[in-house]
Formats: sequence, C-alpha cells, structure tokens
Amino acid sequence: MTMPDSVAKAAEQKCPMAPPTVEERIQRWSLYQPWLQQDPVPLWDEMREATPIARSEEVGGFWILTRYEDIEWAARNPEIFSSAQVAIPHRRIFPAEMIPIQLDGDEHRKWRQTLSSLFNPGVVNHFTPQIRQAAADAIERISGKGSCEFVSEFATALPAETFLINFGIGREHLQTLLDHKTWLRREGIPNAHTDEEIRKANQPLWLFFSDAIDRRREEGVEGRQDVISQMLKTTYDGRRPSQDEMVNALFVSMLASLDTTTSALSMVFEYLSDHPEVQELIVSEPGRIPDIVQELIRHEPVSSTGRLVTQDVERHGVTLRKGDRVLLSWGMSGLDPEVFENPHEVNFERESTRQLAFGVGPHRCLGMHVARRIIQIALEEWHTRLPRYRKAPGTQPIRHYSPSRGLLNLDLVFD
Amino acid sequence: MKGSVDEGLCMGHGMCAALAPGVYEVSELGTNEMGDFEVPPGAEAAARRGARACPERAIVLDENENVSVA
Repeated sequence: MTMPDSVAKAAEQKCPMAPPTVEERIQRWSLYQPWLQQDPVPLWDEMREATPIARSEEVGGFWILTRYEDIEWAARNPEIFSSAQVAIPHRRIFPAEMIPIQLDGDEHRKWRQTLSSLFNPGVVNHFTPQIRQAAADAIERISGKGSCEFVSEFATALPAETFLINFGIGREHLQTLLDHKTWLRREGIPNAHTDEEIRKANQPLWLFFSDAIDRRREEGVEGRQDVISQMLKTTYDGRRPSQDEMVNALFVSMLASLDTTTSALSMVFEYLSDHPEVQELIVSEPGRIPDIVQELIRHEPVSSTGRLVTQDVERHGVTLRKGDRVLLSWGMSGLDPEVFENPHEVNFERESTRQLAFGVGPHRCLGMHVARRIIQIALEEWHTRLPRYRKAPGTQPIRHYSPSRGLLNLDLVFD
Repeated sequence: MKGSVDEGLCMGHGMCAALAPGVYEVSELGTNEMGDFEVPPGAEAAARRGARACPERAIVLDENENVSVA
C-alpha cells in the first residue's frame, strides 16, 4: 500500500499520538483509540484509499469495509453478515438478544413488523407539535443569556424529551432518564468487566422502562398513539409481547437514539456556527431545511455497527471467514469520493443524495423519521429566535469517536 | 416528466418526500404509494434529487418525454 507523502503527513499532523505508518494505523484501528477521538475522518480517508477491506488487530481482530459499495453489500446480505454481534467488542448487555438490533431472519422480520408502525411518519407527525414545544422551551431558556454550551443545554435534552414524548412517558422523568443514561455510558459500562456486571449496571434503566410500562397499563391505552401504548395493544407473531420483550425494545430504542441524535444535532450546529451564510439561508429560505439537514447529516459521520460473518465469503480478493467480525461504518460511507464528488465539501444542491447514514437493508434505522424531524424542528425553532451565532472565541469542541462520533461541548455566543 | 415508484422496492425511508415534498408524498407508514405519477412542471430538479436519494432505487424518472413518436 503506497500513500502520497503529503497525505500521510497531513493525516499524522492531525493526530499527534497516532502510529507512524498507514499500515500500523489500520492494524490498530478501533472506535476506542485515544488517537482517533479527535479526528478519525482523514485517517479513514487514507485507509479507504489504501484498501477496500482493512484488517484491524484490535479487540480480537475485525474487518473494516472502507467503501460505500461494500458497506451496502454487507447490509443487503444479512444471511452472511449476521447481527448476532453488533458491537465490537461484543458485550451481552441483556440475558436475551437486543430487540430488534441483534436479531436475524424470521424473528427479526417479525419484530420489525411489530415495531415499524410505532415509529412511522404518521406517529412522528402526531407528536411534532409537542417536540416543537420542547425545542422552543429549551431555546427560550437559552436565548436570554447571550451564550450557551449547546451540547449540554440543547442537544442532550431534546432527543431525550422527544423520546419521552414518543413513548408517552411523563416529562417529570427526563432528569432521571438522563442521569441513568449518563451514568451507564460514563461509569456503568466502562467499569463492567463481565456480562454479569453489565447486567447489574443496566438494572436502573431496565426498571425505569418496566415501571413506565406498568404505569401506562394502569393509566390506560385507549386512543393513544405513543409507542408504549401501541406496544401494549400490538402483537408479535400472533401473541402479546412479554414485559421483558417490551422493556428490551424500549431500552434498545433509547440506546440507539439518544446519543446518536445528540451527536448529529451538535455537529450540524457546529457547521452552522462556522457558516453565517447558511444561517442566513435558513432564515431566508426555510424550505431548504430538508436539503440542508440531508447534506449535513451526510457530511458528519456519526454511526457504526458491527456484524458477524456466518460463512466464508470472498470480496476484493480477501476471504472473510465464518466467525469474523466486520465493522460497518454508515457515517463514513457518506464521505466516499466514488459516490459523492468532493465529499468534504458541503453542497446543498449536490447531485448524489443517496446517503446511508441511517443504514439500509433489514436493519436500517427504525428511528430515522424521528431523527430527521428533530433536527429539522431544531433548525426551524432555533433560527426563529437566534438567527446569528458563532463559536465562543478561544473555544474548540472536544470530539469523540466512541460509542458514536460527536462533540462533548460546543460553546456558542449569539450576535 | 413522468415517473414511477416500484412499491415492491419501497422500504419507507421517506427520503423522496423529505427532499422533494412538492413532488412526492408518503403514507403514514412512510411508504410511497404513488405508482405512476406526473412531476409538476418546474419541479424536475427536485424530482431528480428526491428520486436519487432513495436507498432502494425505487423511483424511476422518464427523462425522455420530448422524444416525438413519428
């Protein structure tokens, strides 16, 4: 693998602690590497340029599909690329498989059938006024201050509030949900060294969701469109879902939706904070917001998931063997120059709009309609009240690549 | 400009309607049930963006309307 010196140098300069050669950077690739937290994108570009299928020896070893075409291929072949393990390294966080993300085949198909109507555009439309109100309230609280820290004051709470709205859980539970989730991510999971310890760490949130279901059952589901009410009325494979199955699906929805949407919101607003001409565009042509959201979601990778190979398969001269793990980086596929001309350029009139940030194939993101609506509403409501803003002088976001890519902070001042 | 949506391919991503709401409509379930449809005059660029965005390639647009039949 040869790499132009200038590319390698540029890549190295952005990550001072990165291994010194391309080959080593590939071999040591993992979402958890300290030298990848700040800026994995140029190093991914370099890896993609070097090979379509890279091999990392980290966390027991796994393959990395670096190109859009191959990521889509794997996504569309779930019999070969099983979701039995979706994290690398794999951790069993519940006694049972995570619903639906860790399922395959018929079981998966049936759960998707049960769950898909719970998150579809009709439901999102129904809850949009409440989501809009939650965004407006948060912005009102912020707008008088002249400045804010966007991640903690807006991007963290809005997806969580939307989650509670969609699931019919009272807003009084917001802080509890956030506290449990923060603890789980920052301490519970990192300090859990065995599956048993992880399950203990999950207990508070497990009980949170189980209690929410019990409360709803008591309060009644008549005429209600929220997810828990619908789950209590729906069938899976001709029978009622069990309490454990419902809690499982709720927990997975939470894990899949909160941090990813926070990341997307943070990086969208970071881009906007650096581009007053786009702030202006949003104000003067709010009809462009869907195009803007689509292109900014493409431009800033957020999400990766894993797969487990079920049978030997050859691709690009490489044999992926049964039992191997594969990283599918949905977000990075959006920066593939084979598909998106000048991928690092933001272009709202871009010809190529077929991006895979929300995945494709049977496991495509169930929450994609909700996520896009949240970001759209955020753009609409924010720019109505705070049309001009920029990064606070002397500040820079601290970035992370795991568990999904995003920002820890975004300090803004309003003009 | 005419177009058609293959309902067998449509998986309800809703990208068509998200990018070109003046051209495409999706059901409550997120699926495009338009079948064969007509693109409103002037909306051709939007129709293309929406069609190209479909991860399932379920939308085909007929760009050759001006071919005359002799």
